[in-house]
Amino acid sequence: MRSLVLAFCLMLVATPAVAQDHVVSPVNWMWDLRGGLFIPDIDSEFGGAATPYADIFGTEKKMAWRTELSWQFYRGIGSLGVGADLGMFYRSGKALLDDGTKSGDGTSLILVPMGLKLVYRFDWLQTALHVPLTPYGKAGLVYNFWWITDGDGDVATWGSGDGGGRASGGTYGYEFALGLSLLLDFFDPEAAANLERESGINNSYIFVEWVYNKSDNFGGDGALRVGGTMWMFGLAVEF
Amino acid sequence: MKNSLNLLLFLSICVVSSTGWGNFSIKARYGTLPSAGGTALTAVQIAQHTNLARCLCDQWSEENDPYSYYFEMQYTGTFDSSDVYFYLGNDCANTAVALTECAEIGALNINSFQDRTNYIPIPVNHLVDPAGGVCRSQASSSTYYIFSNLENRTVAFSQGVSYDTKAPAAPTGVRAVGGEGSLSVSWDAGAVTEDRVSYFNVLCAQDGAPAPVSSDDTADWVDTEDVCGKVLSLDATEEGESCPDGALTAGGRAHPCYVCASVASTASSVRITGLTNGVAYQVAVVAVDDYRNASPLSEVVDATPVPTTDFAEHYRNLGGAADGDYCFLATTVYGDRDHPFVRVLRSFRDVALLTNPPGRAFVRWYYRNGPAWAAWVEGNPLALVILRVLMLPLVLFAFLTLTLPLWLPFAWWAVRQRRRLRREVSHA
Repeated sequence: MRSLVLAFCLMLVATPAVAQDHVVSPVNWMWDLRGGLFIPDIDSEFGGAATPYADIFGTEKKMAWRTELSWQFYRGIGSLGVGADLGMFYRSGKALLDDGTKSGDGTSLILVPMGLKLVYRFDWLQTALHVPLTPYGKAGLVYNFWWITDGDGDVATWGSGDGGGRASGGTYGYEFALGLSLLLDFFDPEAAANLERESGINNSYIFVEWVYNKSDNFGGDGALRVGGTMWMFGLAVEF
Repeated sequence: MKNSLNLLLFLSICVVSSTGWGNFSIKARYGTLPSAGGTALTAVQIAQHTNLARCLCDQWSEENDPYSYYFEMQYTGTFDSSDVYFYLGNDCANTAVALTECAEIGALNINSFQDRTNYIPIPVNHLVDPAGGVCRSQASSSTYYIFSNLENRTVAFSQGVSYDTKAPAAPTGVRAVGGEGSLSVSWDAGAVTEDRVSYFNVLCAQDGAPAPVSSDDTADWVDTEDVCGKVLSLDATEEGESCPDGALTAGGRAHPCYVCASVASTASSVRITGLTNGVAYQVAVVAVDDYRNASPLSEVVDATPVPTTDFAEHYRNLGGAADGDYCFLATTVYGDRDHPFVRVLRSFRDVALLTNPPGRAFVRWYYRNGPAWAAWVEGNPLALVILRVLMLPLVLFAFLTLTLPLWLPFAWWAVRQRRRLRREVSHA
């Protein structure tokens, strides 16, 4: 086992010959697609006194998806970029009967988060030492569009007390993330070089990141709290 | 669809005899005689034509031509005074088979084809049962013959015709659960896949009669009332009521007037809406095949729509404060809660106003007075137009504020670029 770990460490610090030989085109953009299990913080509004989200959708986490495009405007010790991302989260459940049991009607919550972030990637390890691991961090503002559907699949209404207002809107907040990406080119430098020649994709990564999203209109009243924390996994390419 | 195409190919092949006669060919197929307003049938219509309903109608009225459909036949070749004989059946050209096993359609003098087209009836009941003309539950094919010599069974033309009078099996595992003014009905779809089912129709009854949401326009099968204007029993021996009460009985015959929903065969559930909470309904399902034959009724289940609480209502009932949207005046001015300008103002309220004490105070004041202003503006078209214009700068300001993080970096970048260009120009 120890020899396996040693071999992996040697592999990480080893310098792939082909990677050094080919001419590297400029890198300015990064695109990623990622997903992770998520549950929004909606019930936190009630301080434990009630759990409307859990009552209808349960406490099981569901997949949330995000995609992000970032432009790297600084390259030095690492890279700094500005990125915009767009996501999707859908959760469906059953509406409740008067006795609190589930009915045959469906109801769902849809979240579409949009964000604008600063992204710092400490890729010096990769560029200077040829270690294929890049830690990174992101921080920025998010705006979450959301809407709730009723049994007919239409946007639900809050009820007669609210003048029949539609249960849709948006919640502002902020988000930061810490992650670690693994350069896939390292494992097959020749294929990576071909990919760069043919499509302009310089590097490709798989990554894992921890995301903290605080979306509550910055503590304002009347916000549907749709933030939360999650681990996300994904694939990214630099070009 | 695949079956219909097969049928079309099947019908398109003309077999011509080699006994010195000319060629018979099928030009088109008609639902009724062209002189009676008939139109050429599509492949799908032919498939639907040779189903149980057509068969029953033909059986009910052997003498009534319009119930049959027709081959529009033409002949090119030698004309003389000899007769040709039209038969339907299987293996009729075999002299070992008695002609009584085949259905005699009629005889025509070959000269009757000179300069004209003849329309030859195809009674489906004799396709299904050449000797007796009795409708049976089966799917097969039969052959249409033209004999130039009956004694020798000399075939001048023959044509295979497919039919399907076999109803699919009734759906099983039917369940119905009450929802808000609705019923969610489901069934085990897999049980009838081998019968080439193309639709499932749900039937709804209230107190034994068709439910208010039921309509025969929704039904996907062809019944005898559609084809020959009569509601016939399954043995075509008597007429029934068009839409009888109490007709929702397990294993019974489906009546289209009860149909309240239709879904494709890939579905195994449907939600029936427009019902009344607290009222009991009876529900059953039928399967409809490619030839528009309907299965017997499934088991009949009872269910009652009940009030339900969706997530938005549950959240609000428990004291949730999010309101998402409601903008009295802007909604009135722009006429729609989802107008893009109203959405911008709503977001501005959430982000710029509700996040600070003065903003929250303004929103409270606006919510106290907004409804009254909205009511006044609604009754004054001139004020409506003026406000639409006057609110535009407010909408623009709100939009720019909300999108500040998006355009500010680009503005900053643009300013820097402009400065750099100026510097370069001045250096030059």
